[in-house]
Formats: sequence, structure tokens, C-alpha cells
Amino acid sequence: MELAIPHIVFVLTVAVIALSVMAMLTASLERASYCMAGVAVVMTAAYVLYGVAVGNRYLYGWAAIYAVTRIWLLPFFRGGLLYTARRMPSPDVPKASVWGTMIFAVVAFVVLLVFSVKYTLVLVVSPGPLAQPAGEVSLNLLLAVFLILYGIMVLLTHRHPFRMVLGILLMEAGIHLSLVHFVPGLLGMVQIGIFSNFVGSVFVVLYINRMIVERLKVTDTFKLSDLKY
Amino acid sequence: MTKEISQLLPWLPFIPLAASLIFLLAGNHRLARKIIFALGTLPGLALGFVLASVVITPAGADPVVLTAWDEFFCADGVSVLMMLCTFFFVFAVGVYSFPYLRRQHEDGRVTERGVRIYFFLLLVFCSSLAWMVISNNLLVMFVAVEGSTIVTALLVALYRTRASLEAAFKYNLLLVMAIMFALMGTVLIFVEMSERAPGLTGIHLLEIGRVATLIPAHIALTVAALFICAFGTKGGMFPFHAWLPDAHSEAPEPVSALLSGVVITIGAYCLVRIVALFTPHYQSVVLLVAAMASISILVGILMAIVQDDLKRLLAYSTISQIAYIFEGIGLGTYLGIYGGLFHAFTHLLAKGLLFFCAGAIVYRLGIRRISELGGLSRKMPVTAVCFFIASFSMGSVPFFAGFMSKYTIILAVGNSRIWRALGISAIGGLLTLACMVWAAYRVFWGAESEKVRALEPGGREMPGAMMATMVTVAALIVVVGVYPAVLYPLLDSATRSILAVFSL
Repeated sequence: MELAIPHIVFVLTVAVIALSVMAMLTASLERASYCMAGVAVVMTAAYVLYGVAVGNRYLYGWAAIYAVTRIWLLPFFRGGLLYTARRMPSPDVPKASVWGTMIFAVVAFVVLLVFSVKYTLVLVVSPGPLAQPAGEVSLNLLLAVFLILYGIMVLLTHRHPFRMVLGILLMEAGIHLSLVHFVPGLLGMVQIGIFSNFVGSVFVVLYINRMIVERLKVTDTFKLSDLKY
Repeated sequence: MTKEISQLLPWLPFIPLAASLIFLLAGNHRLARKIIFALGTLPGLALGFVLASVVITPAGADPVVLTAWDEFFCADGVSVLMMLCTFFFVFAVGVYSFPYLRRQHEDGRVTERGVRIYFFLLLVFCSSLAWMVISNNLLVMFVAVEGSTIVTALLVALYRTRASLEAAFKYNLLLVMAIMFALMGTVLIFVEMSERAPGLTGIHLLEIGRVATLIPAHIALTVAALFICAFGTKGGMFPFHAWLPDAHSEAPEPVSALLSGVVITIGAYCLVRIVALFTPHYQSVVLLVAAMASISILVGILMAIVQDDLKRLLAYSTISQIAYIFEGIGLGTYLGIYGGLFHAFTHLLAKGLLFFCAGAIVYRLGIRRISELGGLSRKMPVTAVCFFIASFSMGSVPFFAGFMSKYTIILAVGNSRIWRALGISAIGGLLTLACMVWAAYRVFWGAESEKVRALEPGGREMPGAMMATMVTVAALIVVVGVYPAVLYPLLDSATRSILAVFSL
């Protein structure tokens, strides 16, 4: 059982990446919202598994808070992702940025993979005694760092405000994953995870998005640009 | 006695928070609203003075740190300084806003519900900042910063116009990204500290001073870079400034004053709390901050010079001024930190007053394009005097508050022998003076524009509450300019409290 947990965590991390990419590639904003709820479900499962693996009971608390805020509140609550997605026209994102994101995703993944295999990323980022014994952490960490970069890339390349919010959520998921892969056994890590739950900010951005669409009938942030210099 | 006073710390954020909730229930009764707002801010200001009397210590003495709730809250010189700035300025903005928002409501720009939400948000903002400055935990501090970001984004979007919604969207998105960067830095610090110094988490401000020496150089530099990105965005430094001109120009004028005076100072506060810890050990961090600040000074003021929109001009000049603050703090020396904190205070007064003046012009004329103004001094003499006082302070004219603060920073840069930054800072100061005086000249002197001529000669310049706020801030600028030593005890204690964390 103990041996199986790291493998399951790895599979869950890959599932987070897959769902994140699906959320960005699907044309329907509603489906993207469901994908983000899926990301939250998988991450909650990863926290629980880590809790079991390292015996850190505080991780269950984080998992519970994460489940409430990310599986229920953010996607399904009034003003959340689905609520906003249903009030926004289908995305008019230029193709180039989607291709750009995909090319970036592939290149970044390959580069990180090579980097990870050659140098063992975790030892470069954190050459301390806690990180060294955990060989399998390296690949998980690689995936988490990839998710952060993917989130940044989404923010930079997408012009639909809803997609940009998803970019923020991906970045945040990447940071949380990297944290739990780094030091799953510490209480402080759980504190960081709980305190950095930016649900409030996301709700406000979604609210502003809806105002923009309702009042200005615009879903392309490039067309929004009245304010220059 | 100190222990009893420190037990008052947790009340600081709760007073404005409670007032904000009561405010929502107060209905449309004007007097009740004013009383609730005063009760939400003035006790905090009074408490700030009480705390200042404890944390101010004579030069050479150990700095006093007040703690409460098992060190969950702490207050030292720099916390108290920020606390006083926040409560004073939010109170001033509130007093100014009552008549201003009434006019906006009469003009149909904001609904009655919008006015109520505005003051509610103002009090929540005050609460989140109070929470930020007394928190001993980095994460709680970030939550408070996030809270203040949410509130200010909603305040920026108050008018629901195309431009204000765009500005609010940009502001919120960039600031959330900034907090993400800060979070990444925190994660790295935490991981490293948990491995190298078990027991020290590196997320408590009172023990964070040890971080820089305990973690390897490449991690320290990565962390510093992440925090500089984060707090540079919060402060509006080039190249993270994209939100600043939009948010400042599209928000209601009192909110612009708040953004320019208090919000960007949050970036400086976070910088002094965290990034400054790395500077004594890593010269490259000093140089990075100095380089970014130098570019920011020039870009900000050059962009300000070419603006025709008065509020955008002030916003771009803010980018330049915050760069001075960051430059001073980034040096990590006594003089640099002292100058940075001093300039944060003088900039709060001067830029706040300038935005109040812009608000008075919009209140009277409904326009803010400089080319449509001119010769306004005859119709709005008090505003003209206040604008010139603030402009002179911004331009570092002797006997105005901004002179000594900017001079201290330039002196600190010289002491650190960063000559290029010194030259750029001096040139930036001269350009600021030219920009502000030229703007003041175009707005208040010269031939009267058509719209100014159309104003009735004996008309009321602005309501008493707005004028009283402006005159008070102008008087403070002159007092601090003529007698800068009045702030010395508090600034000195604040600086020493930061330096004390270095040496832990």
C-alpha cells in the first residue's frame, strides 16, 4: 500500500495536468468550468493521499477546505465559474494563441523533462536533506512547475477574460502542488496552502468579467483597450 | 503598561470592520453614516498615537516590539508608522468623499446603493490594511494584501464605465498574479527554512531576518526576484506598472488619492519587511532594485510630462515617485530605509492632495483635461494654492515636505556609491519639478479657457468638508517641510526596527 501511494500521486498529478490542458482547449466555457472542478477533485485526492503517506493529519484539513472552496464554491456557487460561463458568449479566442499555448506546452514539458532527468530538479531547487531521499518527488515537482508555467502562458496568450481567470487558477494549482510535493509532512505547508486560497479574488475577477460582458458586450480583452498611455 | 497596550493590537482591524458592517445597516441617514465612519477610523488613529508613544525609543536604544495573541500580532516602529498613515488618510478620504459622492450621486454617476457600498468598502480597506501591518505572519499579511486588492478593485470599478471596468479588470488580474509570485517566494523560503533550520518557518516576520543568511545564494536571489516582481507590481514600479495609470485615472478621485497615497505604500511596506532583508548580504539585489527604480523614475516622469489628462499625469508621476521609495528601501542602509519611509509619508500627503485638487476641479467643472482648463486660480484660489503646495513638495522644493525625503534618498544612494542611480534620481527630481509646475501653470494660470470663463465668479469653490481636508493636508506638507525633525522619532524607530530584524 505504502509503495503504491507515490505512484498514485504521480498519476493524480498527471491527471491534474491533463484536466488543465482540457480546460484550456475545450471551446465551451461550461465544460472548462467542469474541468476545473475535476482538477480540484484530483488535487483534493492528492492531499488526502499525501496525508495518509506521510501521516500529516493537517493535510486532511487542507483537503477539506480545498474541497469546499474549489469543488463546490468556486465552480457551482452563484457568481462562480459556471454561473459566469453561462453568462458569457462562447470564446472568440484567435487560433494563433491556442496554437502558441500548445507549442509552448510541448516545448516546456520536453525542456523540463530533460532538465529533470539530467539534474534532478528537486535537488537544484532545494538541495536540502529532506528533498534528497524523495527521488520520485522530482518528477511530480516537474509537473507542478510545468503547471505554473502553463498558467502564466495562458495568462499571456489568451484574450478571453474567462480563460485568463482559468490561467490564474492553474498557476495557483501549480504552486499548491509544488508545495505539497516539496514538504508534505509539515504543518506550516498546510498553513501556506490554506491561507493562499485566492477564492475571493477569483470571485471578484469573475464579477468584473460579467460586468464587462453585460455592459460592454466584449469578450476580447484586446478590444477592451480604451486606456492607452 | 506596555503589555496592556499591546493587548489593544487585535482591536485595530476589528474596529473598522465592525463599523463597515454597521454602515451597511445604517440606511440613508447622512449624519449616522458620518458618525459611523468617524467611529470606524478615529479610534484606530488614536490607538496608533498611543502605540507610537510606546514604540518610539531614544536613538541607540533597542527597538520596542509589541506582541499579542502569542505573537500572532506584532507592532514595531514601521507598523505604527503605516498604521498612522492608513487611518489618517482613510479618515481624510472619507471626510472628502461625503460631499464628493453626493454630487456624483446627483449627477447620476453612482447610485445610492453605490455610495453606501463605497463607504463600506473604504472601511473594509482600512481594516485589511490594519490587519496587514500588525500581522506577524507572512501568509496572513498576504491574505490582507489580497483583501485590500479585492476592495480597491471594486472601488476602481465604482462608476461601471467601460474605462473603469477595464481598469479594475487589469488591476485585479495583475495584482493576483503579483500575490502568486509572492506566494512562490514564500514557498521557497518555507521549504528551505524547514530543511536548514527546523523550528524556524521563515513565515514569521520577527524571525524572517535569519532567512537571508541561512539559505543558499541562488535560492535567496530567486526569492528576492520573485518578491521584487510581486511588490513591484503592487507598488506600480516599471515594468509592472500597467495597472497603475488606468486604475488611478478611472477611479473616483478620492479613491485615486487612496491608491496613490496608501495602496502603493503597501508595496513599499512589504518590500521593507522582506526584500530589504536580502540587501545587506546580496549586492546584486541592491543593484537590481536600483536599476529598476532608475528606469521607473525616468519612464514615469517622461510619460507624465506628455499627458493631457490631469489624473493620468498624476498617476504616471506616482510611478516615478514610488521608484524613489523602492530605491531607498532597496539599499538596505539606515539612511536608505529612513529616506524611503520618509518619502512614502511625504508622497502620501502630496499626491493625496494633488488628487484631492483634481477632484475639486472635477467637482466644479466636470472636466480634467489640462488643455480644457486654464486660468482657474481666480475661480478656485484655495485649490490653486493647495495644488502648488503639493506640486512644490513633489518637485522637492526646499521648505516643502518632499524636499527632505527625496534629498535623504539621494544622499543614501550617493553613500552607497551607485553613481548612475544617483544621477538619474537627481535628474528625475528636476523633471518632476518641471512637470508639476508646468501642469500647475497650465491649469491655474494663463488665459481662462471657455469652460472656466463660464463659471460664475462668486460661485462656491467646493463644500467645506472637501476644503477642510485639502487645507489640513496642505498644512501638514508645509509643517513637515519647514520642520522635518517632527517626524524623526517615529521614522528613526521604524528604521531601527527594520535594521534590528536584519541582525537577528
